[in-house]
Amino acid sequence: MRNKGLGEFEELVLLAVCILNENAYGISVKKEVEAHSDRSVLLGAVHITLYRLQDKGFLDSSMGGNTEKRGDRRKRLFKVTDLGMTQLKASQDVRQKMWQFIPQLKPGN
Amino acid sequence: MKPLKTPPDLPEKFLTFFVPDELLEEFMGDLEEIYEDRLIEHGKRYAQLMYWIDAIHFIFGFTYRSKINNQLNQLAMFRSYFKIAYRNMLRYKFFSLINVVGLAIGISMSLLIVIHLSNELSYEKDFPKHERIFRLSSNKWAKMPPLLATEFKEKLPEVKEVCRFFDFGPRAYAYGQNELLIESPFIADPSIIDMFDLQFIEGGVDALKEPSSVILTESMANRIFVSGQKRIGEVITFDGGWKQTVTGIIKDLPQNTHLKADCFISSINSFITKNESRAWSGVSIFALLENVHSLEKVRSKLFDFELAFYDGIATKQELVEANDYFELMPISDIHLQSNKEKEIETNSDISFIYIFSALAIFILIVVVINFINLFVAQSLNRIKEIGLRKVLGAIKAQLAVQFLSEAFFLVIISVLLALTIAYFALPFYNELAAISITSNQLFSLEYLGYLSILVITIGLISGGYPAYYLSRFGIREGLTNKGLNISGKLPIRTALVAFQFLISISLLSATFIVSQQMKFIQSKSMGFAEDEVVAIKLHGKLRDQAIEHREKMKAELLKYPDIAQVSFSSYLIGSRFGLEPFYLKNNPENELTPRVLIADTDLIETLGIEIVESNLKSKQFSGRKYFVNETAAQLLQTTQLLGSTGVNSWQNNEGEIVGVVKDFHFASLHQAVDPLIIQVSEEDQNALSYLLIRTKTQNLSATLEKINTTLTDIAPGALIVTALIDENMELSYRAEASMFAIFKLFSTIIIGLACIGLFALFAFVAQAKTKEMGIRKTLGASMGQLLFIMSKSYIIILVIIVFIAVPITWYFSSDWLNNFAFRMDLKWWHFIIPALTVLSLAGIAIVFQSWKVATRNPVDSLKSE
Repeated sequence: MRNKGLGEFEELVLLAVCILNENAYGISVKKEVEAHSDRSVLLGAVHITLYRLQDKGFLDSSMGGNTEKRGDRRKRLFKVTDLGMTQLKASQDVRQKMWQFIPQLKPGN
Repeated sequence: MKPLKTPPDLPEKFLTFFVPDELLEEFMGDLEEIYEDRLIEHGKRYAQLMYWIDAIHFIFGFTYRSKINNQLNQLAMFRSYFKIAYRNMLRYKFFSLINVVGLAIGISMSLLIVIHLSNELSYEKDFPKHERIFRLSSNKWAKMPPLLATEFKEKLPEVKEVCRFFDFGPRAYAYGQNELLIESPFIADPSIIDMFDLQFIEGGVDALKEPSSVILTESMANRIFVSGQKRIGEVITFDGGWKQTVTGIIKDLPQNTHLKADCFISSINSFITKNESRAWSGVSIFALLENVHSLEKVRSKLFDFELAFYDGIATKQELVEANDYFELMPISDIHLQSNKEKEIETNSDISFIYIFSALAIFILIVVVINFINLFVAQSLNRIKEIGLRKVLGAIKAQLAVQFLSEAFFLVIISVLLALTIAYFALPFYNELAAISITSNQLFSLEYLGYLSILVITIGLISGGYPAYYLSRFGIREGLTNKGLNISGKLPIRTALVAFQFLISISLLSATFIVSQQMKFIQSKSMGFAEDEVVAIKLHGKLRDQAIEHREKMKAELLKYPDIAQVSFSSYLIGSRFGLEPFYLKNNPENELTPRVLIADTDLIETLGIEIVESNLKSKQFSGRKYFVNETAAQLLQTTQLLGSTGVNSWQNNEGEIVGVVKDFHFASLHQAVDPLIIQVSEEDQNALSYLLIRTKTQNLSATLEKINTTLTDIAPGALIVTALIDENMELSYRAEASMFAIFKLFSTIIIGLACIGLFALFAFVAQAKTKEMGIRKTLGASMGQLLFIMSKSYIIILVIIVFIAVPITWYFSSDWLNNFAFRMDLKWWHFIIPALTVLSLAGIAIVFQSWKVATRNPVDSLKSE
């Protein structure tokens, strides 16, 4: 029953985790996605997606990096798994392939 | 207020409740981190709003991960029920909104009342030994002679310890340069420390053992000393050079006590320990019994003890005739049940508890009836769904479970909403009721327990009825919509609506009557110029000046054209003056106990009291003179009052009666006017403690400013506390005023909810009658006839309700009015106006809905099959 594919938002989140490399947690991912996609995202949505990706095996996580700003609470730091990387590449490939088949775009049509 | 930086604390409580522990840390961390970012970028409002949104999002997003989510087999079924419930909610948005929000408002309001009441009922219960502490008093006076305590302990072995308090009212003190005010200083016996388990921050159990030592509460200490300063051993000087050494700092007493003391001064070698009088009722006496069971034994010995105490002063017969008995009252009963002369503070009243409990119950009844009615009405639209479920093999029990779970779903949402409403309404309620409940109390286990009981009860009642009612239908009836009586004539539902309106009408007329009585009191002439007189308590330096240079102070003040007259008195007008024995020298048998006010000659002019007769020729005289009020004059029973000699046997002095003044209300209108003696004498000026100034000004604040500067010039650095007499008088109605404010608010809410409920319910009724009305219209019925047919049964019921509501309200309100010595008379319109108001509100709701149906084109309503 589990959908092993990647949704659009899931893909953005996964990419953000890759970009952030070792420093990916709720807020940093939210900021990264917002910065690149130019849209505002709810914190909860990011968290739900992160956990869904972890359930699907694309992400791995550990606790750490407590700072005073957070009231000395730890963060959950996410890391992309091999499976996640493969999935990202796969969906990138699919797109790439499909782009090739689009007839030459004509401006102004 | 909260510091700007911290996010609201309520969401965290919700999160802790719903979200699994292992996720909580990172969520709270993230929330706090992002809160700060938003605070800097967008400001506090935005940050808080987003904090809430994010927190709620977390709850909805992650609850499914909690441990509830196990492998229960029926889970899918329940999920489907909730899904259906959710979809139904969205489908009938208006009704669901009324249902859920109405229930939430009702629950939150009743929750606030419950918390308020349990706070009232908790008085003194924070003292660990409260069950064994009793107040020794007489049946009329709360305070007793100090000697009584000593003898009580000596003569009765069951009494383990006694403690005396003397509360002497706001007093100025000096520490360093300036004079400041201690609102409520107490003199106390050292036994207080053990008896009331004082919690020491500094100092210890020996703190009151030495004379001239004082224990400060923490908040008082913080007002006197700067933080970090040495406090033990410092000397504070009270009014009149009375020096006290600080020997202890204690935690503030709990807020739910009638002993609202700022400091305790040691009684050792003070005037209360030295006082040997058996007649001066000046101290509150508390006794700690060996154990609770010895109470009966002590009570049985009480009268003999009283006889022994008054031996040689009063005989048994005299005491019986005077109806004067010693009483032991549990300390925790004082706040609600004691209303004697000389209470430490004006106590609350047990009748408030009854009235408010009734309000809480009424509001719950109204919303639950709404909920049941709307839920059933709404479910009737789903007969087809029920039929279909039956076709697919659902048994009665399953349908019942479905409706029950739907009801629970709605109730739980309402309760969550109710908690939120209560949280935000709390500050307003606190202000209204003049109490201080914290939001922590709101979330204490006790009230969450109360809420879960509510959820279960309301869920069972409101889901149970439709569950029983709807699951009975057969498949054929369900699928064809035939054979169903959904015209709204169901007796139970009609009875419920009728009951709601019974409550609404009764409450509205009660509110109306209370407000009329409050107006009556406020507009009643007090018999003197209460709104023109300013009173200034004479503290410290100001008092010294006033006693020494009284005439000079008066002259300085009278220089201002705005000031009409200046006088001095021993009590603040509006408070209860002391009672002292008084008789005529030629008739000592007829001894009265009038209230005695010591003043100077200008008092009568300052207060603007009318003089009935007087033989005083000049304001300048020597010796002591008395003015009496009409009540006292009557009680003194003499034909030749003016010129006769009166004796104040308490002060042990006498003087000539020189005048009779008209009765005026020097105390609240709860009491009839007591006999009053105004004692005027140069010799008694030590007793003067208030400066009274009559103003004739439009601009009060400017005049107050002038008074202030003048007095400051006379006594530099003095503490000047002004009070307006009429405001002080209003304080005695504060309890009623705050009760009334709450009462008004709640009856408005209840009536509003009842009307909205009727409005929504009638929408269903009208809908069910659409076809009938279509046919009637086709056959030629006029609009008026249609409206009449639709609404007549409800209107008739409402009118009947009026006739039931009136006697009930009449009974309770005349009971309440009897609390006042000056009460208005109940008039017929006190009942008719509220009844008509509720009737017309309900009528509007009914006619509006009927109108919608009656104006529909019959073609539309008939073709839809």
